[in-house]
Amino acid sequence: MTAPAVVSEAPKTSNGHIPGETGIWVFVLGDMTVFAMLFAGFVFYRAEQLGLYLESQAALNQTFGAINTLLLLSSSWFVVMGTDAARRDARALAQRLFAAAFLCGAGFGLVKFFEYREKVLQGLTPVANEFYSFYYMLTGLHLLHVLIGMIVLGFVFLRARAGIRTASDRMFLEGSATYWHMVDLLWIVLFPLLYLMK
Amino acid sequence: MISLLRHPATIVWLILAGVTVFSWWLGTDHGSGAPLQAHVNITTGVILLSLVKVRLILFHFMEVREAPWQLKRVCDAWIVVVGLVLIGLYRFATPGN
Repeated sequence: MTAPAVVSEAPKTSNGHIPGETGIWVFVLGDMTVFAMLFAGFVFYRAEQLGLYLESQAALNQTFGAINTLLLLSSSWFVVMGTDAARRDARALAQRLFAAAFLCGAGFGLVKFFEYREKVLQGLTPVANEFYSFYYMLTGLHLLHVLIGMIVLGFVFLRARAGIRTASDRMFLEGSATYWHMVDLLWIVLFPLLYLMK
Repeated sequence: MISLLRHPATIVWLILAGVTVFSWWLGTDHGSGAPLQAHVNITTGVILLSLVKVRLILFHFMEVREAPWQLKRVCDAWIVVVGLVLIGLYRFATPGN
């Protein structure tokens, strides 16, 4: 005999609840590990040409990097609040919060655009030197994750209107939120390595 | 609106934003002209702070604190391994450090 499912609330066992489903966590932890290997590669190759890396880093605009960190942290906060609102069936509020998270993501993309533009106009392209190869590869790969995340957030926004009706609605919402937070998390490690490491 | 601001995630966000601004200050303005060893220690601190932020995001935003213990430990293991590798490579493979 099964109790009627309250799908807006996560099923909880004595062992706890996996947000989304196990599959999303396999993907997220795998993606995090691939990025971690790239980060390790960056620190390793940096050691071989320390002067070049420090000199190249000095041309980066730390302010762009820090603003983008704050934008992603804020977007994550909006997603946490949006998920919370959706679980309470406060659909209109959830939609507003997801829209705000999306706009923070768009702001991140815009800052990145101006940052790339500034660098390219200075002749600092991906082929300028090894530091800039890493810079464009790491930030570009991360930006791709941001763009995918914004598409996902778009769907989260649309589906929030109807509310959480089925277990699959709940898994989609939690899985999407988990992915978006991972995008934030990766930037949190990327920012100090590229912009701040002395 | 008040309930949003009272949410535990808001406190986590405040800590994350505060640490970000502090790391930014540490990594840019502070210690210019300071001896190399000071830079090495500051950078080590900045990496450690970023891993503290990662743990806050995993456990509080990604809801790992409510997850089965296996997921908690896998996440903690990722943080410890990444911290050891990055700080290890930074401190021991970089000439002069």
